[in-house]
Amino acid sequence: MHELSVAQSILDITVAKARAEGATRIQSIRVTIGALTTYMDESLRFYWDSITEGTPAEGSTIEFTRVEGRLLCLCCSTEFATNDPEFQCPKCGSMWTRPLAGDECFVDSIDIDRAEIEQEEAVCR
Amino acid sequence: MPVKTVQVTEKILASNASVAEANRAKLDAAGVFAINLISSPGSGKTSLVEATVRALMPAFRIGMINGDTSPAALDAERGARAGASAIHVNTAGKCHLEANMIGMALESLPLDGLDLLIVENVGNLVCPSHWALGTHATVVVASTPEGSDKPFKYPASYRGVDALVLNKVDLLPYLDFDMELFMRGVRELNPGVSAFPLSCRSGEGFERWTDWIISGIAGQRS
Repeated sequence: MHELSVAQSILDITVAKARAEGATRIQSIRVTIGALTTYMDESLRFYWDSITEGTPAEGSTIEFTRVEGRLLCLCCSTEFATNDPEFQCPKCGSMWTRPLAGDECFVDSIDIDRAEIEQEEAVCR
Repeated sequence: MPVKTVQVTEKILASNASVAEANRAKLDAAGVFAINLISSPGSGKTSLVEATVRALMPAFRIGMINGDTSPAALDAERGARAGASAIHVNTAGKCHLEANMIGMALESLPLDGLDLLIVENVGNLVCPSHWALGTHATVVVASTPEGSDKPFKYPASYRGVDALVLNKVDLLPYLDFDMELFMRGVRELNPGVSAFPLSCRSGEGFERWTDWIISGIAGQRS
């Protein structure tokens, strides 16, 4: 269910960026999701299709790249990689860990229509 | 149609984090100590608010922001009847409170006339821990009938919280609750966390909890 909030945040970020670039249509969005988050691709895609209706991102495609998580064991200081948010330290078995990477979600890049931009640049020339 | 690729590299929850910082600044300016209660549904968050308000008023003035997924303001009404300035936030189906919801609720609260703000999050042990609100402390509220394996099943809600309340300890004689297992999970995920086994109903263990709250209020004043 929290994917709705995440999808809305992705939409706000991409629409603001597209407007700043002078574009009115967004064709595709690339998002990186860390393994230590609890966001599901399929759920995000489901919300994406419904919340983008009537926005510059309507009909756009959204692609996800998953990156692995890195945790630091606060018991024995072992650093380890994991794709499971609740993984135990492989060395000492402790669950007392701190995320070092993979606990975030980013909008990487967007593809926008160039038509309006080129038109404006032509007017300037 | 020619296409241009634009680099964005923006954190999804960055805007929530910046609103949370603004909320914190507002609370600090007014000298209000704010806590965020997270738990599964039915652990007794609202009972904890009621009992805390009754124990601390009139010496301390208390506000409550209650998040629920429907327009029914039952919990906020309970907080108000106990004596808190209470605001109900309808998340309209969302499974957690977000910083902007708190920001809007803060507009309607008499912050300069408050010492303590209790935010009662939506009953959910998964999502609320991902959204910072700007409060000074997050408290996970567990209860004995839920079972002693909760820390192992919902580690994200126990890891990194500032305090733990274990409610309904008056029911221990009737349950198979394994206190040792529960506390082992808590200590493994969050060593050194302040833990308050108590009963809102019998009052057992409640004074240690209110002492913790009062020291938070004192810290915020100084």
